[in-house]
Amino acid sequence: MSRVVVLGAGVSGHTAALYLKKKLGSAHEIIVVSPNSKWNWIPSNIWVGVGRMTTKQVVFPLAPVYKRKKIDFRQALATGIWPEGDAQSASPFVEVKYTDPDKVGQIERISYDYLVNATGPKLNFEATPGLGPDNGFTSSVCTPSHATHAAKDFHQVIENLRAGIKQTIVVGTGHGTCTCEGAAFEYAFNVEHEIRQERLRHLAEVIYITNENELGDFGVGGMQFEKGDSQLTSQAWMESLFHERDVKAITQAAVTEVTPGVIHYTQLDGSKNTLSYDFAMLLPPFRGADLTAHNKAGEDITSQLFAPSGFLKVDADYTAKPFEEWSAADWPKTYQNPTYGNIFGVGIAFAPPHAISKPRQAPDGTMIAPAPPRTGMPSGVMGKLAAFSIVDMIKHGNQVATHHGSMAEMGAACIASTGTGFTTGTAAAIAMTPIVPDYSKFGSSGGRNPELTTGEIGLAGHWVKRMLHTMFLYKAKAYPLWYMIPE
Amino acid sequence: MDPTQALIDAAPIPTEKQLKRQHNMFYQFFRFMILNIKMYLLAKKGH
Repeated sequence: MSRVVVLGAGVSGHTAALYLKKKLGSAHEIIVVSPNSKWNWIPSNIWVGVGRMTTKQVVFPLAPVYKRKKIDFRQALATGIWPEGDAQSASPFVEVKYTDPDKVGQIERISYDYLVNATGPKLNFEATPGLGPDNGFTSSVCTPSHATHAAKDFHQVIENLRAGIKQTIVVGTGHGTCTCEGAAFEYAFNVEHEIRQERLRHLAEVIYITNENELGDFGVGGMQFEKGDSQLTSQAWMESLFHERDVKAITQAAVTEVTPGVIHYTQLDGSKNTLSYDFAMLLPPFRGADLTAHNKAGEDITSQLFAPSGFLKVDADYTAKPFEEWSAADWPKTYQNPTYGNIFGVGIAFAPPHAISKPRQAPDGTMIAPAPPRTGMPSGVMGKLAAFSIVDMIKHGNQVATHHGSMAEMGAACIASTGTGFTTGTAAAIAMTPIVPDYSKFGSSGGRNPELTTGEIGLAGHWVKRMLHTMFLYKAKAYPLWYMIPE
Repeated sequence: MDPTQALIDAAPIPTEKQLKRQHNMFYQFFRFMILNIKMYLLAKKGH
């Protein structure tokens, strides 16, 4: 019997665990370690953040699902990996610290034959002084509790507007190296939509501040769509939308500090500016979970297993090279660690070889470089690929990862809500293939397949996003035929 | 003024007809079906 330990129960880890169990059955043991007791459909946190959904609608408890599927669930935080075991144990193991209320603080070593690291991101609010809802002055929609807090603050904005008090709302990225610009874009337009629905739009200024070089970059270097006989860029598309909805924008910006009511930011031209706000939702940059690694002798090998960003090294080409030399071939295909073949890193937890958008630097050295997004669709696919490779490795008794899927080959669909409501909502429905542009294949169309890269905005997009909410909660709850729903 | 804001101000906005189409229930139901098919094919191809 083999034991597979999955660290993390987000989109990627949960998908991996469910497929591992489905394929391996009771002949092998699947253990999921997650500090969170609940699964969260993160894309809908946007709607929690404007008060259109409750936390209960976007989460469900993991324990009953894992009990039904006969997956061993440990509510605990992984703190260290011993991929060679130690002096007492020949088997590799992970050290975990329980967050389960019944065992809180207890430390346990869990041995494994195969390990899937799907720990997701650490929300690095500390990177910008004054950022975040806990120790700072801004809101966030990264977690259900953050989104609930944001909704409360946003409700106060609405109350102020009703009282005739003008409000400045700033939404965007809270650091020069943030990712998930799409989520910030969604929240800005949902906030704008809610205020417009209240007929208070004339009293509110909505400003989108971003580390993107231009609107529509979204951390993937922008897109080109074919519209009839001509090509439309995502930049032109977004500029038109911002004009239509009267949302102001500041690009090429790295937020460097937030003080009460004031955002301080540096722009690419070196200018240092301030922006006053009444309500601000700024996303934090991400880094890897705080995991350490040790060899058999107990020596720290964290830097061998993990990139400086804290993300797990996989089969990518991490050779430092200038933007002009970046290639689609740099991106990992199997998500298998090159040193320890029984360890995989999937979802946000794997270390990308480099960004997708061109990184830039202000004259004072401030990095203004969107990090590569790893949204739900590719994260789910990676979890499934790693699970299938591990299943084959167990069955064939080798360490050859048999399933491949590079972000420079796979496509992604992104439905960016620009306002909710069954008849009044809209969303920008974006599809792109591949996620990482491959200029050697699609040089004339921005590195992407023009037939599979599209964008449109309308009510239909909103319906799709709402439908995906229901579908993916169904899938994550592992209800009958869950595996028929693609990632 | 931020250069991006100048680009936004100069960007064309959708016509009245385009905006109506974005909320026309019949047309949007048709687009909904098309989007679902596109996404399904994208997902199948990407897996």
